[in-house]
Amino acid sequence: MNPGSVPAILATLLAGALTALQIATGAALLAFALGLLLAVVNVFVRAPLARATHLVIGAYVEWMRNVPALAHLFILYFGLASVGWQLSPKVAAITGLGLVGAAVLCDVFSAAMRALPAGQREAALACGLTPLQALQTVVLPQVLQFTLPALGNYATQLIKDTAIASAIAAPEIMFYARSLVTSTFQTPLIYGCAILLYASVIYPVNWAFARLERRLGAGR
Amino acid sequence: MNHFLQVVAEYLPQWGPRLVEAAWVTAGLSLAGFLLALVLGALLVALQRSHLAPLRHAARGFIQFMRAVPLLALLLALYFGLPSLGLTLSGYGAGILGLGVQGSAYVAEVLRGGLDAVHRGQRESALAAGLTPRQVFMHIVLPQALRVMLPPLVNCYVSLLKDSSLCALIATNELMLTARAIASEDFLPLHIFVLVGLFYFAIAFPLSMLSRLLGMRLARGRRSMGGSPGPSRLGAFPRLRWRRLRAARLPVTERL
Amino acid sequence: MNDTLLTVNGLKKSYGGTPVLRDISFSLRKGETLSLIGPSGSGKSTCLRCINFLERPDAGEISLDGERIGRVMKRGRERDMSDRELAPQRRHIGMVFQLFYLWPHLTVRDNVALPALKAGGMSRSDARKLALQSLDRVHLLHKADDYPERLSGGEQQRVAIARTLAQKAKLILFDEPTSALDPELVGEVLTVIRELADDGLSMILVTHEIRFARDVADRVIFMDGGVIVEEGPAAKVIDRPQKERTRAFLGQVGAAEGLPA
Repeated sequence: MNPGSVPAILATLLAGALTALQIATGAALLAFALGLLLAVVNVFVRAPLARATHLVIGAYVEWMRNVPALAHLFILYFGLASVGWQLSPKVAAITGLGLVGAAVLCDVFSAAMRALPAGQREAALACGLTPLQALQTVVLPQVLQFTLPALGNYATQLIKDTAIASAIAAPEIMFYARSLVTSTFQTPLIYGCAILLYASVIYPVNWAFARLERRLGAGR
Repeated sequence: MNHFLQVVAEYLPQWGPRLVEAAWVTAGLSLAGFLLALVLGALLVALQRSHLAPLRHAARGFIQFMRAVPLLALLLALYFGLPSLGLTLSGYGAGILGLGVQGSAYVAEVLRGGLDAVHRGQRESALAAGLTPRQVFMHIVLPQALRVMLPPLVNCYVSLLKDSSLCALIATNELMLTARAIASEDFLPLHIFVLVGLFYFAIAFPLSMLSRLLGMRLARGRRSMGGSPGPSRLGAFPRLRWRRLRAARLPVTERL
Repeated sequence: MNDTLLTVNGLKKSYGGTPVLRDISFSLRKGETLSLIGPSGSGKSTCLRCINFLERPDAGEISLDGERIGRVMKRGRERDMSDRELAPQRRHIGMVFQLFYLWPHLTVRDNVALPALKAGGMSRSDARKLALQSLDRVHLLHKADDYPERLSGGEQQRVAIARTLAQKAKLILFDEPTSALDPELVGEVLTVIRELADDGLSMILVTHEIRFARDVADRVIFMDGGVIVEEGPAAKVIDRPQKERTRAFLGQVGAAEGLPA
């Protein structure tokens, strides 16, 4: 098969797509779990610890969100390596993008939880549910419904951000694209294919979220 | 921690001037890209309101496509791909073009949101008073829309600022590339990348706070009937509390 | 000299398949105050909004001072005017909305001056003087430099009325001007409307305030289901309605207001 032809290009890029998928999934899980945890702590922490908690979580979120993702990846990949802790490119990418995502989702979930009328949680507690049960059965389901559009936005952004991982040598799509360019010199064609590949993943993801939002009557 | 600060202090005289110079490049890059995004974004909004369906669909399609493509892919395509098609751009030029073109999609959505936020009744009462549609737009709709657009536009700029770091990968001499160069010279990646992070933070964080402040003042003004944004007045600052500012971050309907 | 100011002939309007106005015709003399009353959904507001072409009628003719509103002949075919073409005609018709729709980013004075300035082409100083005169007429001169959000609902509505006065409109349309106001604020607006009627302004008033309509209007039209059911002098229609539907409507409303049954 001609290495410069479209099928060959796509075949190579698809290998990168698998890595991109792994990175995105890993980062998404980390972001979701950590973000939700931070949001719950942030919103429901009570008096003695409140100020310190808000300060710490706030500092974390603001740092992650006001510094470029590329910088975070460099710090994790090159920076930690220099003090003896060498992360693989994939792990560094998952951690970096996941930590940034946790900051974003912390804000998203916090806003949704604050928007929920307090009376709902109180009614649950009054019925005899423990705070944890109230969280699981009343707060979280509604929060998820409310935040669905924002989560969709985040998912799309995350898939695009996996491209950044190429800068720390993670073998995903852009990484393969760049190495293909040096070997076949079909530059516009290769980058064109890469772009179309991303688009062909993101359009369906957007569509899927839109359908999910319609079905669940989301964003209320 | 102390050791970290000591090392940084030691190297600051060498690194400092280089980083500051690079920071100017970053600022220029992001501002130029933002300006381009504003111009293109306004054009896209105008096209979306055109009478001609093909223009509307083209604008809509362009916006959706630009939101589905990673910026890095776009930058690499512009910098490495265009020369084969006859157009060679510098890293700086390709960076501005890429930032501007992708940014325009987000700016267009912000502009559209601002215009839609102006209540229908405002336009109706102006038409009823005998103003032409152009006068209605210039004197009634636009002034009110601008107030709504301002916080998200500031956020757009902050996003662009962070994205400008990707231009390091297309050989633009901005902050990130300079940091990498220093890292490979002095072998202190942790220190230099954290320091550079602080540089970005120092620019982005105040702007972020500004956006939130503007948004909060706007929310206070929204009381009149036919609910449109009210006038902003000096001295109308709500009491600045860290928690309230943190909570006032705009919802993630637009980019980050 | 004909003193008819407005004629409406054969007005028809449907939304989707539902007819809202089925052949409405009436006229207004200069200096006359006409009130449109009727239940919700009877088409009163739609009728009003057709007069200044905020709604475009499906059929019918509207003429102000002999000039046909909203339609123009181009190349032998008649078509609706665009908003830009309508602007000069709309300058002569003032409208006061239920939700006032003052422009929040302008001071009260600039709100009132804007139509005169932009639509009327007056100089800035003349427009301002006219604005202050108009504000004085609605007893709000002291609020000229405030922004709308600082005014009560009743004050905002009076500013909206001043805005139409500064337009030097030949005809003022009121679309339920007090329906969105707290009860204690209704009186100040009705007082101003009464004063304008006494001054001889031509007005069409769509309102739920039946007693006020009886006192202020010269003529009353009762609309129901998109048709004019009854029309005549205000006192006659409201005190001694001829038609059954009119009686039923007034009976319901009148009982609440204490009108003679």
